[in-house]
Amino acid sequence: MSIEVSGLNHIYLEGTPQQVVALEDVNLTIGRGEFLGVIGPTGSGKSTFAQCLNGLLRPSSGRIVVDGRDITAPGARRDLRWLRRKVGMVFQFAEHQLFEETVLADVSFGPRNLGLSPGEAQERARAALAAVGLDDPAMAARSPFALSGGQMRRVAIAGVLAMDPEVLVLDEPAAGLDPRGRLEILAQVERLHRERGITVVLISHNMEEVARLAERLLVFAGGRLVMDDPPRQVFSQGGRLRQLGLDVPVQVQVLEALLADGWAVPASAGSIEEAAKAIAAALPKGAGA
Amino acid sequence: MRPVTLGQYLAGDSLVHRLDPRTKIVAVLVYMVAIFSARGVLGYGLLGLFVVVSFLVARISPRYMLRAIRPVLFILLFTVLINMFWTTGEVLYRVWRLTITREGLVMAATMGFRLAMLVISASLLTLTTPPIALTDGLEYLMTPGKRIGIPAHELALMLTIALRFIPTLMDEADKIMKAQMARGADFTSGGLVQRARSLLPLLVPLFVSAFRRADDLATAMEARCYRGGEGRTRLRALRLGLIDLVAAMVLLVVVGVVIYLRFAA
Repeated sequence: MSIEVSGLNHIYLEGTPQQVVALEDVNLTIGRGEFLGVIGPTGSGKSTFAQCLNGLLRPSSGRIVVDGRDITAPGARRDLRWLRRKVGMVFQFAEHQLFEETVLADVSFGPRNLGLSPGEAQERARAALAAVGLDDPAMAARSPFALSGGQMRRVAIAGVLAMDPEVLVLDEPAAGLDPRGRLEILAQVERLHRERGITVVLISHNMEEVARLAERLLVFAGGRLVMDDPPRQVFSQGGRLRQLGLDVPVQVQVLEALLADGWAVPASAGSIEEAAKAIAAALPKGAGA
Repeated sequence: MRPVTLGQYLAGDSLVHRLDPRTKIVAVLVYMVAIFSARGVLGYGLLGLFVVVSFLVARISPRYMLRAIRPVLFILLFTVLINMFWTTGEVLYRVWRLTITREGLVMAATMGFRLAMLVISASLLTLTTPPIALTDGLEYLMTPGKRIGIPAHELALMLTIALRFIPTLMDEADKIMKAQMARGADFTSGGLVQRARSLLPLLVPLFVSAFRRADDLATAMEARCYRGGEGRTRLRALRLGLIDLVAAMVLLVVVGVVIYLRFAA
């Protein structure tokens, strides 16, 4: 299952005085099982891009082909249910979409819409709740509005997972959570990617997060895709990123400082561990304990 | 992301735009009284001309006059037809069981013109006045009503807050709708009951967020010592200027002539 995007443009309120060009000539291919990070300053088109991927927004022009089917072709928008099943979308502050009386009913909303029987839908919902670490049986019967913020967020993510998507698009899934909530949510996303081979597109403002998790990093600026490389390569261009209003993760900042100080370390690294190894290797023999 | 245009205000810097909102509100009210007390072609012609000239001065395309009528077109036609066929008098034509009388034609034309001018003059007010200025003006005008228990400040504040939050809630509704659509929700097909039910996943989160916002806003206002209208000063103080005086004079002359024509006839 792959997604091919070519010549994608999106203009909000096209033809009115308030028109805004949100995406301009975006081209890329997302392969099966990839873990993509998407970064970019506010208003760079990240969220618009994400919404185009599962047909919530119809692009002004350009083609998006999901699994060999052109979702931008005329007439393709009549029935997009198959697409919603394949590409799950977790919005920013996803907990704002909760509406049912119980957690279980809310999470099974998606599967019910797919036409599954109530029994099957509940089974899927329980599996999805377990996948986000909410497998306590008492949880399923509680009201989603009585939960903590982090729990609500996880219930909302479970609501999307219950659709059993092959691609999961997450728009700032950890925004506004405490550090522990952040770690838990991201660890669960990573596990889904590793264990089930789900393709993940993670939009984030947190450079450490994407450096650690993503295999490939998309950088958006002013509606254009300006970089599409592995994190290590992207973060080796600190100057350019800062110019765009972005930054490099803390491990790269340390490497940059060491480099400026004359140490023989690489200019960039993906994970913190990688940076640590590089620094250890640069230390004179016998200096470490 | 998506800018929402609210109401029909057209930004501009014409004389009409620069008038004090109070002047415009009172002028529209006076004009409405005049249009219902006028009589004769000359009187109506004068009032019609006044609106056309106002639109020209405001530099707003006459297309907006037609656009203003569109929402009330049905009522307008209905009124015209009723008056045309059901007024007794000198019979001009007879079609099947319907009769058209001379008095009927005159009455239909009069009522049609009155209704059209009513909505067109009101639309000039909303086209040239931002909603916030409008509520400001209303608050000033209602202030004397405080003595008889009209909560002018509170009403104006309610209006302002409602206007302020319409675009916010529309954005929110759009977002929730998309989130539910991503979970396979379908808002467009099925019968009436089915569709009403399918709105629940949209309405419940929307109400929850509206209440949360209301709560936050109340806290934020209290944190800044908001205590109601008593002794409160304003950021945008309204002040009547020379153009307001001139505009009022012009209107009064026109209305005076119209009323003179009525009693002279």
